[in-house]
Amino acid sequence: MKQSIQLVLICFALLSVVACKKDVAPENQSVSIEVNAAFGESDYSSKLKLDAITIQVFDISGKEVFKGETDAQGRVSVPNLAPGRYGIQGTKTYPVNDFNAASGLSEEFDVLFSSAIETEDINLNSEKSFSVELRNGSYNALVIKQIYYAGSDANRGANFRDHFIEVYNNSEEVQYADGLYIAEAQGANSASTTYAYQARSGQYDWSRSFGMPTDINANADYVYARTILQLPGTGQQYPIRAGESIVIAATAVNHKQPYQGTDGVGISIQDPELTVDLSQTDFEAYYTPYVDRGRPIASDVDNPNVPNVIVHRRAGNATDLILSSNGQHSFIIFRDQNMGAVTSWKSYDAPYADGRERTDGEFVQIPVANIIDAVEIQSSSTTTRYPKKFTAQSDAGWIAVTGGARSSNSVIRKTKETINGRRVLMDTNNSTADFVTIKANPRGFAN
Amino acid sequence: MQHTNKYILWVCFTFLCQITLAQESNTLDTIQRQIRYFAIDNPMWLHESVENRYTLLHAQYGGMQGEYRLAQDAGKSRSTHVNSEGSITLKDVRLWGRFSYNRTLEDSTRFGHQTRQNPSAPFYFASYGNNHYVRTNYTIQARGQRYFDKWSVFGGLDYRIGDHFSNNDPRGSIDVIQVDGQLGVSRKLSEDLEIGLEAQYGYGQESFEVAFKNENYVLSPAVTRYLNYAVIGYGWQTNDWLLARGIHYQNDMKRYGSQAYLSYNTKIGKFYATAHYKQEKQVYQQVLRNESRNNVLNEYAIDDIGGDLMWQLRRNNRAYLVQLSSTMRSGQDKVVFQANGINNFVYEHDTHSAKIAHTYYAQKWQFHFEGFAGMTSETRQDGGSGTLLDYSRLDGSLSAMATYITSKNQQVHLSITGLAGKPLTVNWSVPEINENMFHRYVYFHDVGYHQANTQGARFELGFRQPLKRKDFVRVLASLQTVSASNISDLGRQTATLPGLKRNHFALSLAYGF
Repeated sequence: MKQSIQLVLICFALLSVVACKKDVAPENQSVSIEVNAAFGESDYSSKLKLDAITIQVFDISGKEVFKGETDAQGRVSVPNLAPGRYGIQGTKTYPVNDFNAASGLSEEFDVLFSSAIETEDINLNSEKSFSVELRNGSYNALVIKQIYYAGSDANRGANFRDHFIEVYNNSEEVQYADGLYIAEAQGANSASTTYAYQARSGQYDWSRSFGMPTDINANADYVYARTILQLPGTGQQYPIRAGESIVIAATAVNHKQPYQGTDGVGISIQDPELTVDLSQTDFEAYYTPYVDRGRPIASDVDNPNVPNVIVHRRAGNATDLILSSNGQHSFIIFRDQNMGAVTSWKSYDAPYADGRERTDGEFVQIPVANIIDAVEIQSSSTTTRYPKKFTAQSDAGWIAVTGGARSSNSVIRKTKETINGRRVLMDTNNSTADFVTIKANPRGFAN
Repeated sequence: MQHTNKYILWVCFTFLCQITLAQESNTLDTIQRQIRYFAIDNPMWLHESVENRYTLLHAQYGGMQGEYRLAQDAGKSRSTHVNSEGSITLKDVRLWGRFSYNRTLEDSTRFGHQTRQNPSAPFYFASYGNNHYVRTNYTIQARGQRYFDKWSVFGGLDYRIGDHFSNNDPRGSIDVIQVDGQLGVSRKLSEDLEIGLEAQYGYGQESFEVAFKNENYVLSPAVTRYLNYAVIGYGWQTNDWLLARGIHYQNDMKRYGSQAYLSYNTKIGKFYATAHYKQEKQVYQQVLRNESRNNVLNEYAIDDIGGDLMWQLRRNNRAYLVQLSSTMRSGQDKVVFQANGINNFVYEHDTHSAKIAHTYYAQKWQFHFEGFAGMTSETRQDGGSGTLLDYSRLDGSLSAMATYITSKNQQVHLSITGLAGKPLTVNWSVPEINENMFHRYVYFHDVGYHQANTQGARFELGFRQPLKRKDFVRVLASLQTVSASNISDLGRQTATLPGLKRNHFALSLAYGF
């Protein structure tokens, strides 16, 4: 019996020895990566710090797997990430005081910077270092390319008759102009005791307009339009190819030549060089059918070859699309998703300091979320400064045309780069950086 | 010696049999029966240890329920087994065969459309909704051995087909076919010493498909309990896998192996030894019928090394049996699609067990004592996500069975078994950044399961009625309850934790002649 027990134990001991094998580790490993954040625009990168930028990593289904903050050099490490496809994004919300102090601007609200979500395949053989570029505001395919609001000389040129706005397709895919809205944004241009203003920016405090709901952020989330035009079309009638643009003219004629007004009187031009030929534009603003008081302006003729825009709102009793040559109004393009019928859009008056009842409803409330592009126009005079009508969400800077009113100059976006023959225009959501002055040139480029 | 045998129960290290099919409890030949089934698994001893001629028809209805289980195990199951087996000797060939049918109904099976016969699969479909699974398996087995003087030729064939499906959305449907064959040669070197060598070959296929009665589930990636995920590795990725990628794949398996045998008869009993090496290769692929090409998903290879050592002695009115077993399996995969064949998953599963049994035959009574102890250790390591589960457990049981033989040769027996289990080591880790649905529904639950201490008991009551000639009828009822303790919260996001109880029951009827 004892022998058998001994034998059993020996055999078992042998088995135990065999059991001690080397451990094998799998080839595949998790990966540690580094994310570097930087500002897209050099103006910010020299003024704003790179620390405490929130970096998020999302998995393939969009779920957040990592959230961390950058160090003073704008770097953050993401350890032990399983190989796969991830989205990386950087965001930072600057408290308004910090932002103003660092950038020298006068924002009213906190400023959000974010990068596009960069999708990366991460594995043992891939890059381990990624960068994200932070920009403020949102980016869209269509941008306002050129605004000729200054007009030309009142006597020798075309005065205000030759205004135009040009919209450009800055993406690589076809976009459609059908149904696009173009509007002039209203704001305070001077300070007085009559109205209520926001503390820092000096702009109207729209939250105090009569009838403004109290459960919305009337200043940060909306702009207020005095003119609203809409391009016609059923959806795909007016394509804008990549790298091309559409021009909307106040009056689509060749202003370099005389033409006959609607009253039969000839309209002449002394110095054609001061103005532009708008006879080949894509759309025109023909106001005559909308004028219900007084007489339409004779210079606003209808070019039968150029489709007319739909005029939803004229500023006051405007008889044509006459832009403020002093730059008192800014411009937006937007779409109407989630806004309901045009007739249902709410409008308000400027906020009176004494809170008096006003129901004229001059300015239509447009949600910032619907704005595709915005350009803040500023006074060309260095002694005059209009308070900003847009927050940094829409346009962090402004542009004023060199030469001012009646200079024959327009403001136009600079070209950022050319890819396969297609121009990509600057769009950092900051007109100060994105725009320059040129002599008005529909479909032309700055550089 | 008699006293010591009665009172001292030898416990080495043993293996707890997690059997759902209750062992036949015919006390007169419990040890003999264990040797018989050992010889069926190792057919060099077919001639010697399987009866010349016997037939057994067996039907069993049993089930288990309780929440102390692995996450992918069923919360409740009911199974019916019917099998008929027997041996016969034709000319000089000892033949044995079995036909068995098994149907299991499972409730609350989640996060894995699997057969349960391939527990380390590195790729499978899963969703977190609870399924009602129906599994049907048919198995035909045959063994044979013929002696030619000192030589013998022996072999066997196993053929199994299975059909698994869940009858609520998401409807997993698995078709299985497995064929295994073995052929060996042995030689008696002397009267007492015999050696043998056997070659094994097998192939099979498991074919998986997931469908939905409600079309919306197959198109929408909304995160619901119907969303179908593909689980890659042991937590590397758990991604939605929808209609566009084809919710089907097949696992083609090929197995090769060899086994060496040795038996030695001595004055102090007979020794049996086996040692085996097997290798299985599994190829997971989608066969895209329309395009007649294959989309290979994963290639998985599992090695299996092990051996058995058994000793038995019958002396006077006592019988002894000691059996030591050891198996070491290790598997590695190659993720072919989307990862260029990198090895991501490493699997190791070792079991070492010892069983000791003693039967004492008296006039009207028989006493049978058994002790099992086993050490199981398993490592599952996923490279991509850094998921690691490495545990080892000790499980043991002690049982005592008493059989009373009446004057009419009827037998009544009662058996009581005590069960206990304890984890020796549990190492687990996964970086939080890589936690996904798999960890939430399976991994943390299983870590909790392996950390538990278990204790339990099993009771069996049986009755054997002899009929004319050598026929008999046997009825058996058994009940087992296991309770777990020491399951702690891991502090990570988990959908469920294992419960504290698991019960088994079985009723069986056998007719033998």
